[in-house]
Amino acid sequence: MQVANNNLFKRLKKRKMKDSILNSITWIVSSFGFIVLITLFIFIFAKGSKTLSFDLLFSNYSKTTYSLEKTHNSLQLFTNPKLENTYFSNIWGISLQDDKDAEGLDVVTIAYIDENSPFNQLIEKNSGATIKIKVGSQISKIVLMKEDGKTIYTIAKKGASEMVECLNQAKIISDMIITTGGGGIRGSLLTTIYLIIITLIIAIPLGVGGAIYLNEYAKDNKFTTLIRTMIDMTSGIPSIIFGLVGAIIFIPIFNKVIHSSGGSIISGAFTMSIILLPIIIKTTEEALKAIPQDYRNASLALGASKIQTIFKVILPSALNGILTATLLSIGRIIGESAALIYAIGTAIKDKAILNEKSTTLAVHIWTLLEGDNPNYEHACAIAIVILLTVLLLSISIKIVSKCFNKEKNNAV
Amino acid sequence: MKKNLKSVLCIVFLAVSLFGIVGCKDDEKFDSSAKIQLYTRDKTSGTRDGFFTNIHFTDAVSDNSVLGSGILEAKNNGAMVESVKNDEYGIGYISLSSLKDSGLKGLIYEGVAPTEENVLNGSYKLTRNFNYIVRNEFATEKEQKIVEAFLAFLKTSDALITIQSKDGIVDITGDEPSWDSIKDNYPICLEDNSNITIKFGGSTSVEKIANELSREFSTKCGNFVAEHNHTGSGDAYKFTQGEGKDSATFLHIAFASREFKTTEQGAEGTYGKICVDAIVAVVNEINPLDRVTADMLKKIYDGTYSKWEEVK
Repeated sequence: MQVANNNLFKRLKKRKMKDSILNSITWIVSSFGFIVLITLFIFIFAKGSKTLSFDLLFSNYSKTTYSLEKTHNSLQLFTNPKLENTYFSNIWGISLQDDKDAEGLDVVTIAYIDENSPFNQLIEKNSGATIKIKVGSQISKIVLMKEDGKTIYTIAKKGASEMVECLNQAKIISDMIITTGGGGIRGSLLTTIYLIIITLIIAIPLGVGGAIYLNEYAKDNKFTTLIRTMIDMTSGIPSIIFGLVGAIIFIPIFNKVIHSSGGSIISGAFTMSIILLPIIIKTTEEALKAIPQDYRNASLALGASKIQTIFKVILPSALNGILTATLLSIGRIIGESAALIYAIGTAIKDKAILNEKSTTLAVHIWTLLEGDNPNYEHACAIAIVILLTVLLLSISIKIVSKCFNKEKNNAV
Repeated sequence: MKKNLKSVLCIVFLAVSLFGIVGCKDDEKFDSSAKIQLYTRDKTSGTRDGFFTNIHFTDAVSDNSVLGSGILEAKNNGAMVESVKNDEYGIGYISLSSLKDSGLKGLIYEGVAPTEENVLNGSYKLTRNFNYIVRNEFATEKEQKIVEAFLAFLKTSDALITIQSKDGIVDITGDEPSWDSIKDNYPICLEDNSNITIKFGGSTSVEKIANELSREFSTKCGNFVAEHNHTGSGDAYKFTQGEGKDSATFLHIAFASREFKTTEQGAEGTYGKICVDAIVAVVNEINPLDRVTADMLKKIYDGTYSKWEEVK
């Protein structure tokens, strides 16, 4: 008896050990994924949050450049506001600071302008107009004329301290190039929005129509099975292959039809539509399947035709699923990059014009990192914008489906 | 159960941080018996053309098969910097303008350090020219006038300073005319040109300079629209005067980061040099190699030297 008890105890102990090992493996694996995700978020937010602002969202990517001149007459000396990391010119009344621009290049920015400074009344060379320069503008070069008629010059590459030294030596600016703004993502944001709208206009009717056919009309035969298999297969194809399709088929077609040269937002929208079709068809079909057969029978029994049944009974009941499909599609459009590199192009623009090359937010990141001076801060800021949009979308998916479920339950 | 969770989490954190420490604790010793990992630029690159032409290895300009085994291609300057930075036993070549913040060691070539001064005084020989070429047939007279004005602008002190500000190496003597002093010869620049688009393109290495020049010249010449599409030196002649001059992607003004080939001779007065750029052979920081000669570089790149200890 004692021996048997002992044996049982041993087996129990062994089993307990085995269980705890399995348990800890589960925990290790899941916490590993958790930690990796958290680190990723922390990394992106830490790098990008400094650059992120409303200015970034709504300003132009290309800079506005001014070619300016100014003769400074007064003998007044300005007082230094003593800002950190800046160099002050007491003759011209401005503080300069070393900085990096959106392309990762060294620039000199204006950090402070005294209210009486001649920099408030610079003269545009071509038009002769007076221009007020804002704090934050970048100076790329200054050519000055000294009192003895000699010219001296300085460039942004040499840094703010040398620029101030140069400025303090002369009172005539004969040529100064100042750029303002730049680095914004407004154009890419607009392109993304246009792309979403056009893609949905093309893909939703096609996808929903396909789903209705498959669920309501198609007979259960080999042909239908073939279609289903094809849809399953397309949803697994890497998007770069769709990009290839866009480049080989859509771009030449639209070059002829809407006179684009190379990629365009339209060809991008058509490419994205093909990518999205399987997602929309599958999600909608799931929603159609969930509608009880009784609804159809009731509608038909009341004398409605099949088409009436579909448009007045089935589709309204499946709206929840169609909305989910739409939101999923939007998420996919925002995140897509590989296919769009070919279909839309990688040119960062400030205006989104349908038959011209442009770039979406995701491809904007790619373009920023692809250059000779990759700017990770800027890329991370755009990544945050994308992440937040996707987060917002997934929350709204939840809310929408909750609302609809409530309505449905109330109706029943 | 909760205790279990906590302890497991602790273990995972410990493990991760341990891995981190082990990963960071790279032993900084350079193993000279290691194989040399060669990096090169792609065949359309002007940097590659300039590098191999200078070290008398012209066969390698457009042919990877004559290069040593296991060679890897980098698509641009930035990719080259990243590759060599992450490979202790790598060697590559980049433009001098990319060297400063790269964290790489630029090698002394034929006894001369790669600096701007040495390029200007002619002692540093591993250099190449940045050239321009423009169209000789124009759709409208206005376009032609703006391009002519641009060519004059390139010779002014304004343009030279701008080229210098974007890392082009130019010799500014102070005798050059300023744009203000010659702009009266180009009345087109006093008109409003904001409905005219001038297309720039060609070498990607010259893109930075070209961007800055067009941006500045646009403000000085009636705000014409400057459109940039830089695809490589090989497209400079092709889309201005060559076979692609009437295609959808034609260019008005194009740049090449190498000399034009005999098959790319433009019409008289439509091409020229804008500045010089230096190429620097680079190795990882921990590599003890400091000096190279053209002969050594050639032997490294053709595979004669396969290990670092053989490089002398």
